[in-house]
Amino acid sequence: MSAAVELADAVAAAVADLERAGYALSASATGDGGSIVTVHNFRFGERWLPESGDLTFEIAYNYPYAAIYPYYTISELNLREGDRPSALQIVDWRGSRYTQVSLRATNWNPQIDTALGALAQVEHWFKCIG
Amino acid sequence: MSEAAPHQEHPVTILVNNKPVEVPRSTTGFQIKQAAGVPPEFKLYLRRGANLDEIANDQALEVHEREEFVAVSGQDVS
Repeated sequence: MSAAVELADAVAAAVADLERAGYALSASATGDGGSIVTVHNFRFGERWLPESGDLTFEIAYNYPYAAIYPYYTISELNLREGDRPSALQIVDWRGSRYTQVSLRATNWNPQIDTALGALAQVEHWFKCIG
Repeated sequence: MSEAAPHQEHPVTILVNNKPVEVPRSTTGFQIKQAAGVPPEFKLYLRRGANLDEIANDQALEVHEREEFVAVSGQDVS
């Protein structure tokens, strides 16, 4: 991971949690205490083409009081069979084209919810959708 | 002759959101949430390598030392 000296303590801890869980990631500081995190080779599963790719999201400076939302991945991601789910939209973000994964934690609890949990939920969604 | 004391099962330390939590080796999703202070309506996942399996509240399972669980409030498409 890249040096992230400007991260808020809770954000740095969340990034460390993701690394400890085995995700290969890079993280860069947003300058206000938050971080843009990219998980490399995130596994979408066999129902998807491609089956894995980068997944990027922001952990905001005020994490854990702000939920993780949204997530961005490669624009060409598609189900092998069937239509693209409505949670996936093509967007321009930071000068590039991405697929936005619009999964929102509607009952985010900062005492319990974590970036690690949010990412697990996304992983499970990709596995079970379709 | 005194009766043998009932068998006391040693608790197992698992990780829920990377925090250590003690539960009986034979437990349920609900018991894990209770021990971790996680509301029952939250989702619970067990990570085993690349697999991530959802654990229902009434699901019985055998847990092992340092096994990793993830609790999350749930996400909806928006």
